[in-house]
Amino acid sequence: MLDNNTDQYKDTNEKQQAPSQWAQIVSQVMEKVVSGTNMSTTIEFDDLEVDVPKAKGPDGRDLGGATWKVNGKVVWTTEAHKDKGSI
Amino acid sequence: MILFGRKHLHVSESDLVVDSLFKILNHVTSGSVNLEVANKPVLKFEIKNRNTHDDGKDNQSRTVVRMDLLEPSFFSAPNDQTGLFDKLKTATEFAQKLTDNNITFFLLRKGKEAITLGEMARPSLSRIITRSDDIQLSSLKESAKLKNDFDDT
Repeated sequence: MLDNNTDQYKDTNEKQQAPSQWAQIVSQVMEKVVSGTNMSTTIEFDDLEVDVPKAKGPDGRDLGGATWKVNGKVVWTTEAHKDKGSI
Repeated sequence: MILFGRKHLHVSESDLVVDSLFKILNHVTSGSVNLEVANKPVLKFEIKNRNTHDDGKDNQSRTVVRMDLLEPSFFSAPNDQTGLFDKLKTATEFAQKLTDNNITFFLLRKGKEAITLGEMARPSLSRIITRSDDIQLSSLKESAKLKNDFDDT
């Protein structure tokens, strides 16, 4: 009985902690995008329309829906610098 | 990490990545996102959402997503030892979920259609490889090239 409970706890714990295989593959690709040094990465949004649904605010107030239109670029660059303390 | 086995891309009920993807697809109605790395275009992601009246009574919203891998080798996961066709065989749950949500996902390689997943997939020979009604190898040639792009890195 005790063993069953321990196994059950272990299973639940593993399910909660282990990232899915999809997530692992996506994270490996994302790592390439964000961790390259001396590299510039650009994400360009072109007429991206997002429907924001109606929602209830924290005080129960109705928050109306909206349509967002996203246009523009996000650029980030990474640079490697020599550590001043190193020889 | 080795991801072998028929269920290695199993989509659980609480899969964070897949859930987030479907939530985004439910709210983004149109537009495109381009990704450029080191001044080189690597990905173009286009989305279109349309209402159809094909049968005169149905007003269902259908989503078409086109993901064009302009620099396919960039998207290979270095520690993933499974090939593209292994992934497709085990992506049946994901493709089924796309169909259930009226979503079609076109995967392109350098502007040419390679694989179709979801609602508009019409597999014939592809069914032998994937055993799914929701995954179609639109072009065997482009799919093979994609496989090589992922394997070569």
